[in-house]
Amino acid sequence: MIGRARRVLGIGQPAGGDDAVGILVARWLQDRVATDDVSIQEVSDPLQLIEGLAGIDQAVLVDAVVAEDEPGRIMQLQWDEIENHRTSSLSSHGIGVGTVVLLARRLNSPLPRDISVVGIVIKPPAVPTYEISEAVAAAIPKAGALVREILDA
Amino acid sequence: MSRTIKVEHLARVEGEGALIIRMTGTKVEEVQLRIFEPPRFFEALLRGRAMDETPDITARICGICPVAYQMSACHALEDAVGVKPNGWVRKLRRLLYCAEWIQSHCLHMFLLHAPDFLGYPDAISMSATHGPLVKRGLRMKKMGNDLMAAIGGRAVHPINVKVGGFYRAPRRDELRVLIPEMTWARDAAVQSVMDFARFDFPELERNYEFVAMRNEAEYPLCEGRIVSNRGLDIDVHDYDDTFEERQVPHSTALHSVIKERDEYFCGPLARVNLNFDYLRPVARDAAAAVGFRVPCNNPFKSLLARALEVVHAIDEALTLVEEYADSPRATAEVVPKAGTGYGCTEAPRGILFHRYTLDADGLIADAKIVPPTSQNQRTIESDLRAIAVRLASMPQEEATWMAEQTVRNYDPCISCSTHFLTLRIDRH
Repeated sequence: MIGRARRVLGIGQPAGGDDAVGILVARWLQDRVATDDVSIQEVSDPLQLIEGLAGIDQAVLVDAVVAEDEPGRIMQLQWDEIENHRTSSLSSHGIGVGTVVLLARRLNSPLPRDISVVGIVIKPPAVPTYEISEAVAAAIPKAGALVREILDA
Repeated sequence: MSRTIKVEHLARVEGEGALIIRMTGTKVEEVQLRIFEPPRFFEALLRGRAMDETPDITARICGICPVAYQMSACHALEDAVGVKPNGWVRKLRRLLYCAEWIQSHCLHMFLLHAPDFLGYPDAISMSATHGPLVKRGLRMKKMGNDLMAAIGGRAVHPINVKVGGFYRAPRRDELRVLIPEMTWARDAAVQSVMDFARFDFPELERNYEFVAMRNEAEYPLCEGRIVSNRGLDIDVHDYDDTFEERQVPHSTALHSVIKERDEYFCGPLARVNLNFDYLRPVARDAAAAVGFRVPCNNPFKSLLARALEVVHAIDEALTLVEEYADSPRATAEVVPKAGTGYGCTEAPRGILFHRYTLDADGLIADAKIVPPTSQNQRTIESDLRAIAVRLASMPQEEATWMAEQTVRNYDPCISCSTHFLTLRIDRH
């Protein structure tokens, strides 16, 4: 995959408890996969994705997912599953990831052909906290490994 | 006939919450803006933490206005220990705050509020026919992001702010490189005032008490007295004697009122009404060009007040960048000691009050944070009562739209003052 501009975008809220997991996965990956052609970006404001996705060949988004499943479970999501979710209940910005990418498309912003999404199941925190649950903490290296597999494929 | 208008998920506000309006005929039985309030949890979280940690902890309350939390925290803590940062710090703080106003206001105006006026459910739908307007707004917001990153270390949750000043002084060239884009953004902001002024603003005028900061030198950001159009004029130290917070059963956010009076209105429209003379000339010229005059008592025209503040913020930021000089001292020396300090600054959505009590080691013994959205909550509910007759005559979908638009006049930051906002209009 030499020569392709690739980017991992870890999305999350640092004070959102388990909702920080996307950012924590990005940090885990920083020393393990960042090279000249793979960059790692932390995203707290979903609108940063319009820029973050521009001008690259491949993107891997890492984000928390609220689902009827065990916290810590890792899922590789289809892009259209995300794109159909215009707002995310987790977003403190009123604008979710799917909304931003739809907006980027509508504005003809250059998007990568290849967008993968790695989701980590969480339970939204009842109160703001910097602590993450054990189950989600344990998922960080596993999600990081999945991102590496996607990049190496 | 009884009727309930209910919005279970109020869209295009920062965070989530609920709104319920119960009416019998045209008589309003009940209006509830239901919100939860994380700052209360942060107040508890802060107890026992070192004063140095406070600006960064409180910045996490809101992804949209972290600088406001940092600035109110810093001013309150500096007040507690008797530190007064130098003029260089003061100017750089104003520049950082301008960046946040630009970011926050552009997000609200172009992506969250403009669709209401243009008849679209969201910015995505609006961009099909108003793509250039949305692109302009995103580019202006990005300019704010870039300015914040240059000063604060990153575009979201800046990490360069400390009690006493800054950890690191940005280099002159790091800021000056932004001048061409800022110059473009100032012209774009003026054009946006012209564009927004052509919107159809619903009729609503109430006899508000507008509350904002004011100092006799400049448009308010970090310093000044707290004043109103009804004669309020207090030092920030008198905040607790003047304002009180009341519990309401339907919300965990406390309703802030002026003692022995009642609700008040803070934010861009209040600031512009009370400080129009301190807007930069380019902003005042833009106001004159579109016939915007103060006092303005139409809350829907908060959009124009916000747009004028963006013109002001970019113009002031340009001056501050052009005049910026490197400083040998980016921070004042801060020695912890016991005391209580007060800070109030103008967050994008209105005044943000912080009060801290420190022990002798500089650990937080007590904290109080009053965000602007909880201050405006009572006024928002009164606005909804004022338009209830109109809502009652509208089909459900149109009434819901109008109610949501009315709430969005205040750019409520539910993530600051609440956790979930979900509108319900019950008609019986």
